[in-house]
Amino acid sequence: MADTYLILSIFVPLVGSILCLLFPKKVRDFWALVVVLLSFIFLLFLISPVMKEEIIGINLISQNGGFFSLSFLADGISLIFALVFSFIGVIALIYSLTYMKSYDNQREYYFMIPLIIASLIGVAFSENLILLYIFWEIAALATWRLVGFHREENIVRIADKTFLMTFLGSSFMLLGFILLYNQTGTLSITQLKGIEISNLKGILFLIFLGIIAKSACLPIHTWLAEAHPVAPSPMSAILSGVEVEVGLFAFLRLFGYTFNWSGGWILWLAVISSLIGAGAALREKDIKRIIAYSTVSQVGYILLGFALLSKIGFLAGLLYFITHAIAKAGLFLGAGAVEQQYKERDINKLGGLIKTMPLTGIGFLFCSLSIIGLPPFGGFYAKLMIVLATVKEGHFFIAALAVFAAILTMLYLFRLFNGIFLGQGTLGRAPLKKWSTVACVLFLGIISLVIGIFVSQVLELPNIAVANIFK
Amino acid sequence: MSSNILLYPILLPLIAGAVCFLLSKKWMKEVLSLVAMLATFILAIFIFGSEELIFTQAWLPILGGINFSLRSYHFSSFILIFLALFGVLISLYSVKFMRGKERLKEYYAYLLWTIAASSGAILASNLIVFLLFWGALGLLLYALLSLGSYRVATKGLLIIGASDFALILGVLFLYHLSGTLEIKEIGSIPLNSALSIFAFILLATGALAKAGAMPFHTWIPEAAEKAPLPVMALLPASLDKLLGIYFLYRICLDFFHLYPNSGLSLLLMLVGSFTIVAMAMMALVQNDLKRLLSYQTVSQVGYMVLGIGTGIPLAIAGGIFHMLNHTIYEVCLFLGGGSVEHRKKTTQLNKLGGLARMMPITFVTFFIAALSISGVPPFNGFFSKWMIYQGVVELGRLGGGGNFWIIWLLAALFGSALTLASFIKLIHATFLGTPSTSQPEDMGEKARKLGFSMALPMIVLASLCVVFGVFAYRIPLKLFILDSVAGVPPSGEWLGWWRPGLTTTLIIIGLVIGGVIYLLSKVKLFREDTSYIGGEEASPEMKVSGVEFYDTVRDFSGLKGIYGAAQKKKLDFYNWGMSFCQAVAWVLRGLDRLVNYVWEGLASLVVLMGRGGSRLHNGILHTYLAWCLLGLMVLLVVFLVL
Repeated sequence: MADTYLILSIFVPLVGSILCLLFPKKVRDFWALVVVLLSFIFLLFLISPVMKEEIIGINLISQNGGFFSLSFLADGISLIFALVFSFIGVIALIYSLTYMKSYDNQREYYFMIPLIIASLIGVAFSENLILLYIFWEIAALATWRLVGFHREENIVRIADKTFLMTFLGSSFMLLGFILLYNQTGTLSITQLKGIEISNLKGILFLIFLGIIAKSACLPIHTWLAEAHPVAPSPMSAILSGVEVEVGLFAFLRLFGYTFNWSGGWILWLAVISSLIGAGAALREKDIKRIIAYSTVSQVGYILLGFALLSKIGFLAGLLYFITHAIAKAGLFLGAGAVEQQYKERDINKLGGLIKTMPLTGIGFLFCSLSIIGLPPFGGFYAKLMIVLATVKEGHFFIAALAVFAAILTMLYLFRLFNGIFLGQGTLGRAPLKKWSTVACVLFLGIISLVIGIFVSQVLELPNIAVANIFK
Repeated sequence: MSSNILLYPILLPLIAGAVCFLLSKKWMKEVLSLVAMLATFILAIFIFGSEELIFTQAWLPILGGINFSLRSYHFSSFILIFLALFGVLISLYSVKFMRGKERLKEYYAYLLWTIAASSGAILASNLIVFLLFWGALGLLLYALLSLGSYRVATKGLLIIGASDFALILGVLFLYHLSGTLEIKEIGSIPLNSALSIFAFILLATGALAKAGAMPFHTWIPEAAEKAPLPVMALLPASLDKLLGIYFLYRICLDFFHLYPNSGLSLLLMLVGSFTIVAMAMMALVQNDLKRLLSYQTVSQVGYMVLGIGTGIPLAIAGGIFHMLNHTIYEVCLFLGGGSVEHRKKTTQLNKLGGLARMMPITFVTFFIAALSISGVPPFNGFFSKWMIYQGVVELGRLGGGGNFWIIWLLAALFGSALTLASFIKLIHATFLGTPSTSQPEDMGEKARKLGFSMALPMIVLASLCVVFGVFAYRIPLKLFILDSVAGVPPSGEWLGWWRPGLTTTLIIIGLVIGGVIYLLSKVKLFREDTSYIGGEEASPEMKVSGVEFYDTVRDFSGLKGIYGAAQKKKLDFYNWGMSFCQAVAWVLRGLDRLVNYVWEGLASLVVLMGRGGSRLHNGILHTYLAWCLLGLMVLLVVFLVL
């Protein structure tokens, strides 16, 4: 039964997205929402078998020699990622129902969003590296279209940059996979686990290039800050909230689960990336660029947690991923609401919006507090655990730098919040009533708080996932 | 008694606060808040009355056994009592004071949650639980200050938040050093490695920032002007001190062992002494009642830090006692200031005057508290300061630290004199002298009356000042302090340090210093005027409001520059920190741009090569033919030469 849910959770949105191209306008929007929601529900059914430490594997088509096979694997890690992917997808689509109404090319939009979600879930469940790569690139192509959604010349150029930079990385990753195949004769993740490989470091370095390009980590991060201001806000929520983290999933899967290898330089890269993102965010003026650099910074944090290869590090990274995805989506959706209302993204020109958009403001504040890592929000535990894991492994200086990055995070997010919502408003205008945008931002803010309150329950699934790594 | 009782002081205000959000009627919120605070107070007394209690529940077993554990013992439960007491008094005071203010719904909820989080931080027996409540307090501070001004709230949160992050790092270093997160199991880590010294400094940063010592104090005077007064009385004046100094004590004596005259001890004493003098000097020249009080609040933290920093048990006990006394008289002073504000709608000293006759209760309580803060016997502030002086002298007798102890002692004494001087000015300008003419008397007497709910807290606190001073040994020390601080010499030796002769001498020295400053300012203030013949109207310039008492001090050649810089906020540690962060961010962003240029350059290079390539393919046959010939020639040369 669990296998069916697994297959359905990928293929319902995959096939459903294609139907979005055919359905009439009225049905289409809700159809896109329904398929992603269904996928989320199917994934919920997978929780209980995974909690019993079952590992669900399916092999649909297998090619001899294990180069390619249409096989899926659901364990704790992949389920956590898939759940968050589809959850953010659902929220983004609910938000889109009112937000996207006024734009052209909606058919393409409602085709691409479920497609991205389906392929992200596909990446999470792929058991074969080539299959993983295929889903990976489907997501990248759809992202290319959606970043360039507004089709102006410079926007299309930015979309090209986004695609080319991530593709540059992923082509190295593909090279790494091929070298891996030459050595071992298989690309199945389960078979690769624990195999002795002679030049592992070189291969993993190539794969790492693909990962950091997708995850917008130093030095292949510069596309993210440009992509976000031009992409539609729900797309930004998906891109920064979950899609970028696909790279981190691959890191966890390959570096953590399969090969259990990491290097000291990765820790340094992660923390410096985190600092650079935070520093740049403190200097920017554009709302969406600030939030985008924040993603660079937070991804560095998660990478730091994973790269420690310790139990608490993995747990912390997973919790950080969950809290960050939710809060970051909330920030982008909030920023989108502001932008659509006032046609302005400069924090120096905005101000005083707490009076006109109070609920959005509260949701935005909650999400910010979660990302800063103040108790009792979910982000507090995540950040605390990352630093805890770093200290526990004896990297004191890196831990100090990470804490400094956290202080910078606090500075730029308060600068952002104060700039938009507090102070003197120069742009006074009555707000349009858009229930779904407000509800989504507020909901994500509240979820950020709820995760913090029920943190020990939230950590149960990650705990199973991490136990599985060390098995 | 079941140890579950430890949960209630946290849960009760927490739930009451949540309910406050839902209630619609104003009076219901006031009653609920008052009842919940009273219940917490009674619970605290029960907890104090019982033996050591430990409550443990598995919380995050996943992370290697982090328990939600709480522990009450003598020290923490006595802090809890006073915490709840201030909750009750301020809640009562707010009923009348806050009426008609904006966002009242949130105010009571935040007030209750603040008490809940403080109780949690005091009772926490696990470092993670402690960080949770401690950090939540920072957030609640933001919420409470935002009732006044978002700008100040942000400043407060950024200072407290940054120090909280330092504290988190310190706690984790501590965890690495001790191997446990249970506070009880951490014992006297030697301060000999770099890591332990860093851990100590980071932890002390968190504690000092919470207590509001220099240089983490700069949000307090600003908040005093903007935030609602009960918030100031609750947070910077009382709860923050209780928590910060309590935690500083735990760091110095339980987690690590601070030896007298060790490097870190000197550092703490330096911070303490400097805070005392510098902030008292600042208080001297303030012209706003609330600002002056807030500088005094900061100044007094110096005594506590100095006391604990000595490492001498007597001075530590003195520091703790001073913390307790400070919260009592400072809250009383703030509430008195609030009554003045309530009555006159202003706290500008030059607009006040002659209020003693109009507000006798406020005047008397304020006066007692002012004497107490200035360290005048027989009030409580004197007693604790005295213990600290005595401890510092003992430090000198101990030897090993050179003659630095004289500096600490002088700073403490001089600070006391300055405090007295600043309160002479304050009381004169507010309560004595003639009523100011610059603002007409506000009519509507009935509405302005203090009433029971505002007067009672002040009376309670002022009587505590007297009782804790006169019966210092019999009541507060015996009941609360001496059992909390280990190693205070037995009472036999205590008689030794009570020397009335020396006391009197020192008080006279203090008064003389104060008097000298007073006279110095007087000398410059004389003016020429037509002589008073009688029957004339007193012109405004003929009355002495007291605001200019210490303007002379401001003009001393060495101090002028410092005061000027302080006025322009150039000495604000917060601004320095922000500039530093901005500079770092500027560099980091530069790096980011550099990386971007490299990628853009790479892209341009590829495009350029493509353009070049396409220019070669221009479709003209002759050109292609020329290329072919060129190629052939190259091949020919290559083959012939090889």
